[in-house]
Amino acid sequence: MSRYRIPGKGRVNHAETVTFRFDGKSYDGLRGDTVASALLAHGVHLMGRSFKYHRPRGPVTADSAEPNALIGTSRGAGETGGRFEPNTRATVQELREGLVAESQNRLGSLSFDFGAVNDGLHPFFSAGFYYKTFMWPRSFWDKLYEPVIRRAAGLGKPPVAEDPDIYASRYLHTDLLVVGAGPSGLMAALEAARAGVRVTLVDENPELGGALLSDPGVEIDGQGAWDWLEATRAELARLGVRLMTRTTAIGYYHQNMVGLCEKLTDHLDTLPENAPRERMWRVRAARVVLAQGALEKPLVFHGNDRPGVMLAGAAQSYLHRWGVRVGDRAVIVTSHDSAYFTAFDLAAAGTKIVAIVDTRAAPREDLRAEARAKASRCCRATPSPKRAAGCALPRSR
Amino acid sequence: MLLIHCPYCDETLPELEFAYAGEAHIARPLDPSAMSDEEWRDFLFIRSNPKGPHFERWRHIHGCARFFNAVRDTVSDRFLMTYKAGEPRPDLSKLEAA
Amino acid sequence: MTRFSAFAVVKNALTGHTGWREQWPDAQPKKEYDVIIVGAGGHGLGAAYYLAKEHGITNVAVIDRGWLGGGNTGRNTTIIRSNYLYDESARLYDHALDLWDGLSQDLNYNVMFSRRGVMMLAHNVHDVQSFQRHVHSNRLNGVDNRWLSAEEAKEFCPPLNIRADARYPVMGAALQMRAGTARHDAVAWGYARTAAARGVDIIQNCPVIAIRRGPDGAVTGVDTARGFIGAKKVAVSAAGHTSVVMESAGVRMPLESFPLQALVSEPIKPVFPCVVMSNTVHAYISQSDKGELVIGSGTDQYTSYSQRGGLPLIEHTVAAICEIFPIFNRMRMLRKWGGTVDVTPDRSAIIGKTPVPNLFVNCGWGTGGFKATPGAAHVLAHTVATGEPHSLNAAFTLDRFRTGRLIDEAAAAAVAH
Repeated sequence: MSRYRIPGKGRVNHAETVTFRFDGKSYDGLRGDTVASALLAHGVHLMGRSFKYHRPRGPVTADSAEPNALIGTSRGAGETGGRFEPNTRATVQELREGLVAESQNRLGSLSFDFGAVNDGLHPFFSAGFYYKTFMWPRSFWDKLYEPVIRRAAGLGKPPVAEDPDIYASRYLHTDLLVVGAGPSGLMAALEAARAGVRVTLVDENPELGGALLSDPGVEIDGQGAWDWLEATRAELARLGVRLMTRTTAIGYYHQNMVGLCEKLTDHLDTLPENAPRERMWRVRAARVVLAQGALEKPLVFHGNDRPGVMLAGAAQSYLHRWGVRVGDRAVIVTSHDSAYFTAFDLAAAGTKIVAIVDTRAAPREDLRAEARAKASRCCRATPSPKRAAGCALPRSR
Repeated sequence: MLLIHCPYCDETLPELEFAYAGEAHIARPLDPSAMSDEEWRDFLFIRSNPKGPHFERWRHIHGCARFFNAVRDTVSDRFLMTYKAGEPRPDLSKLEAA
Repeated sequence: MTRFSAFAVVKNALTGHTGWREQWPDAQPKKEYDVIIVGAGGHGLGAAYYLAKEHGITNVAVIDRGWLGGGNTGRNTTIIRSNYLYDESARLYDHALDLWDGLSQDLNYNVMFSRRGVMMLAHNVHDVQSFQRHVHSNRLNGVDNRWLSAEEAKEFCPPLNIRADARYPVMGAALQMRAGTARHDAVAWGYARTAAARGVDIIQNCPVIAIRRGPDGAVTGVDTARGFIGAKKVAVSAAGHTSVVMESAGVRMPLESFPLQALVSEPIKPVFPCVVMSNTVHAYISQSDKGELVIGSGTDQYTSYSQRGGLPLIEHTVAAICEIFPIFNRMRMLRKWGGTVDVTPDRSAIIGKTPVPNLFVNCGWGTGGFKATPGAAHVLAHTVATGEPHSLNAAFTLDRFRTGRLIDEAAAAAVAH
């Protein structure tokens, strides 16, 4: 049992173990994990290196907006190499038996990356420095400078073998396309379907629910969120709503044409014969409802890019969706009420909330009171480069 | 992909069924040899290319195969109307955006 | 102007980067200039630079409705080549190529011109005949271009699929080794910096509403969102918006503006050594110095200023790329966008005088203006400064549409025509 996994918690199947490899090391995860959640369950935050300075990087999100935890994936033993995919987001890739994952953009190992010398030399490699130099001698551009720049750039390893998978594409006409199956999208689809409208509901996640998946404590019409979700899903299916999960809307074109990319096999342990890997849908909808929800914004501060610094919403998702505590001790920095509930949930799960730092002048008194009961003061500590081990808070008021 | 209403088929269909056929209401001269070089150049090559409502032709190549006219706004790409070949150019001030 | 060099980079690195100056000031318009250039893209900024450098004309303003280099210069797929069919074209594009060679040093700004070779694929007998004709014509004009067999093409570009059962069989290819790519933004910024240092005013976020003419018909200046600005000469270099601007001067143009889409993939380590273009399937691809695959499509079929375009077009382009380079199937596209390209009936540019005295125009570059940037800028500056075309743009007149002396480069222009 992995150290940071909470038994029985989340929407993962605790009875089904899935084994995978990351950078040559074998790990156990659970069915329903992503590569990120499975690694975090083992306390692994370091998953990549930054583009130019090779600074250590860990997941910032628990979803498709992930900028840091980019890995190369393949299907493992017996793999010809044609199914190798670079720049896969560890937060999106569902665990499958035998998955082989590797970190990217490092010279040497992920923990000891010689490329990090760039970080030490960062003043010399400031933004756009290459426009200001590499011009002399002239012949050196073709022979030396450009090849070096090209080798230093790029993130993922390029694929080198032909992809044996097939991809399909189809048209779809629908009265109403709802993009996003969080609470808003689900309600919109439900109301429309009850009124007899032909509805197509799409979501990029493997299951419907959106933000509800990370917030089981919420109540809708007196029902617990996950009970409401299951009842809604059943009714939508009964009403004949076309439910498409693992489906990303990729573009909104003239006159309600929307492109969809549906993933079909990336999460499967074994590939079915002749199954397309993905299906591209060109949807023409009479009406479109956009219900993609909100993106949480990271805060900018010195060291905000270190592994272990992530969105509070992501920490909440790892806890409630995957039953994973992202650490033993946490500091929450926020300018919003919702982070307090994340803090309380984490505290209840056994993570010590060292401090809640609120940038607002007057946070809600009831939240502050509860926070005082559940969190303690912050202390100064020296930061470690590979994992945020502490923080220094600016003294204010 | 645009949706275009063919005035002959009286159906609104995807752009892939049609071929764009350039600016509309450019009358082919009845007596080309009587035209000056400037007039002939204007007929062949000079186009209004407006940023706004544009009178243009389309051909329903994978349908009825007939040419028809359209007024489309080239900034929003919205069709204001389509009308059969031979019908007069509509008055823009009377058109409402589709 | 601060001299850029490795020394400057090191010196500033050691002093906290506080020594860098702004590369061009945000100029406020004067009452009048000797020359106003409408459009601060690569051609317009470049023309201002050559006016200053070669003709000593510095009382120049380059005016743009948006930020400099924010039009097609900021959106293109960066391909540079000179393998056009006709003598006039070969000479003009090859002149550009000559200028590309030393441009970084000229501007003291690294435009990252990379001579990685541009390969045009032949997929059928017609392509073979057409490209071989181009090869012969180029060689006769002293422009490098050679014919490759399918095997040689694959050796030059290993990801290429030359199997007989390929969806788009490769029967051979024409390769121009001297051709390649450059960092498009750097071209705009490099020209802007050196032009500004020589006294040129770059006025951004200032749409030109109309060109004003005096009682004798000659230009007197431009009406802009910030008021009237006088000028003795006006050069319009406004790409997709040329018709709109010229209309205000009473000049109707042989142009149509179409949407052109392009995309980049997520970045990967180097795998694609050159530029490959496929006219027949309307797809072209290269790998940038950042590691992204830069992929271009054909124009959408209808005229538009929307900069959008349809899904089927880019789906077709990307599908074709996957058929021709099967290792890229699993790459994800990171960004897609569109621009507005002004296309002439013969797919050749118009650079020169207009019926309006002291009004000059540079337009009609369609989907291929970036490659000509230094050449076009250079001859445009010459034309404006002397009042007469340079020998290299003498054939690219507006008047050729009246005389019939067209320069038909539809095949060489390569995209969706």
